Amino acid sequence: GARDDLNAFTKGLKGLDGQFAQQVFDAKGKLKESSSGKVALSAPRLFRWEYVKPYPQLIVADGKTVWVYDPDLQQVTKRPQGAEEQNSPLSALIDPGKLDAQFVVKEDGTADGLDWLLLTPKGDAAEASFRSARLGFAKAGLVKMQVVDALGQRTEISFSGWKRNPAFPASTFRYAPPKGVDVIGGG
Amino acid sequence: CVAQPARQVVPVAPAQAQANDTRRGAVVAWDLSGRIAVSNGDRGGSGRIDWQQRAGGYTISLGAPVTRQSWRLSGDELGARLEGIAGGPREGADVEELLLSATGWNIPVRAMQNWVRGVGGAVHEYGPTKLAYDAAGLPVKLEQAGWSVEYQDWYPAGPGRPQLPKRIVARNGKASVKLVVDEWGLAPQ
Repeated sequence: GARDDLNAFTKGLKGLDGQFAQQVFDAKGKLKESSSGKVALSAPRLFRWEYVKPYPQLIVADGKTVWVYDPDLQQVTKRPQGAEEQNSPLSALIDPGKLDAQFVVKEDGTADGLDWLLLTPKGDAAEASFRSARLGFAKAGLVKMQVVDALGQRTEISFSGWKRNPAFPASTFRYAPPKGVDVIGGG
Repeated sequence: CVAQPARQVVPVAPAQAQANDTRRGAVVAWDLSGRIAVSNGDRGGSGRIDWQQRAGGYTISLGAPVTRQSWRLSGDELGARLEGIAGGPREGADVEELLLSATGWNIPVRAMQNWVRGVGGAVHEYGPTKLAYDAAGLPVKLEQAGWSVEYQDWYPAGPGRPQLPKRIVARNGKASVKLVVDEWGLAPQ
């Protein structure tokens, strides 16, 4: 089942690099947004999420700080890297042990040719930003992630082109705000 | 990204400016989606914004990056409700106070219902509006209630649709609200 797929996918996994395509549906199921870009993850908590289309936005978690850079808004928001990252389903990829600590994990059958795991936040993670998340696995590993938030909005992220344990250049998980851009503490 | 060419303030035929203002003022039922960055000088945030405005009320939803964790602000003249934040939904008579206490952000929501269209807020609530126009009779800057609102870019007029702002930067002391509108939708007025 999906659990075996997860274990196989995360065995010996220190880092991941790939592409994502994201769609966001409102609570009535209307498509609100389609975006795509690149994602990189590196144990234990380094993370880079780069929107390319329809417009650029960069999110880098360097282990201490999470940076969000919006070039069109000429603003960088920085905040201490903390709980949100911990209970993001993506972080479970790099540290699957955390999965059971933070989520009730259940096999959720097979659909669209994928084996699914259903994650529901538990304990203080219940204050988490989402109601539930589903991870969809194929032979290539994690192929889909679906997140339903407290207001019923659904985000669907499809992953492709996974490279396992790539040699990341040092700059991948570092960020320095460009000149002339407001740098703001995260709310 | 390329620095926006500063739009020149020039004396413009008042009739032209007035005609544009009137057409934009008549748009009372609209939707916009885009991106917003808010700051009070040292704290703030950015995210996707979807704003649905109808004659009486508004629904504004904001989504954070990646998981798009969203929260929603809805309301009308009588009061407002904020949902999706930790601690559960909150309500208040004054939307601006509600938002400030819940998020620490100073956003003049009711005035922005007009400012996002390049129109001044209600005089009895916000005082007089001072507007400076460019050669095409479109506002370059709007000043009201201590806020200075710059219109850095506009969408051209279309069938049954006036020119509408594309890029807005509003400042009041250390507080700032930057909005890039990716799409305007006009509902039947």
